[in-house]
Amino acid sequence: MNHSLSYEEIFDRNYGVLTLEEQEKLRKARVTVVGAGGVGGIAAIQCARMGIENFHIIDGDLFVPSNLNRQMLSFASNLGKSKAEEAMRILKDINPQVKIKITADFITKENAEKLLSQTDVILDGTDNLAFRVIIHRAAYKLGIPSVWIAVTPPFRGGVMCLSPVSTPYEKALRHPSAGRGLTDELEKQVIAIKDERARFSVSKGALADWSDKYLRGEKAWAVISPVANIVGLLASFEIMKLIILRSDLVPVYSPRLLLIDMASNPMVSVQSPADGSWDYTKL
Amino acid sequence: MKKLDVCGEQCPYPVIKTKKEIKELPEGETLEIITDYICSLESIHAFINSAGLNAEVEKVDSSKWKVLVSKNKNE
Repeated sequence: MNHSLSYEEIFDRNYGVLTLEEQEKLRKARVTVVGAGGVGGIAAIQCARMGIENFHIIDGDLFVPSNLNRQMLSFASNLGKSKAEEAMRILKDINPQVKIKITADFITKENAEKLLSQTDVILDGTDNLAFRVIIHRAAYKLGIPSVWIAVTPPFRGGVMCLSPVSTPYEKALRHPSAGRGLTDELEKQVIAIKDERARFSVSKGALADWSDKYLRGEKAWAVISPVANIVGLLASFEIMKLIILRSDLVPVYSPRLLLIDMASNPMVSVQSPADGSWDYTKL
Repeated sequence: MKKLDVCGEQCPYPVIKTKKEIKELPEGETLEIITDYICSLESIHAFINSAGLNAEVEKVDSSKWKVLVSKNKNE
């Protein structure tokens, strides 16, 4: 195509919902997405379509067939390819002006602060609970707001924004590691929360057979496309709120939580925990 | 044969460890990776293929897999 696209042309339809000043804030904002999978992928796409032009995508994984059931960046044609590199290609196809830094590697205790430092918002779209602690600890230390998400069988999920002045991640989600050094033993205890979530999800309608197999390592985390994607959509909306900072559009800061249960009425609600923190095994 | 047991470890640790071991694997040697998590098996397999190497997967039992990968001098 010869036609060169202008920013104003692409985002013309945003005006009226967003002011020009807010659009400019989005254009200049830097968003880091850790994990370009089921939630991170669609959230990155939404951010690009809202006019965000600066991204850092961090993911050391490659696309595999079981990603196709939900991950919006995955296609039969890019199986085996780097998620971070494919995210860059796809986001640039939405807005060729986007500037994307990619890190085709995983976040670790050693590199977290360095990788997450040059950004305005961090989306944690990872699925290992120990890694998530590392991400939100680094964000807190760096003074950068971060967005936590959860996708839980059968039809549940959550989105929560964290900032240096809101309830810290591990406290809000009642982690055994809260306020302590992250030892190998504590990492194991944190990771074990996910096993409890698998057990609890049966009471919400997930198959007991799946839960048993998940706990034995025979099956991966169960998720269907619309649930992962609605979580990603809601997370992208929170990212927008964290960037434009409109006084009547306050992000859902911890310990408040955007709760999603597509089998309940309402399907999405903002809730505060009764005693200041959430039992993560039930989210 | 070098062995890497990543049983009990969740993604992405098994892939991170596999990457490191393969990088350090001498030419002509074989690495045996044991995992008990299907998600890790899929990721390890994809990584080995992307590195241009061949992975041989063997099911040890209902939730344990052995992955053999060689750095063949002729490849």
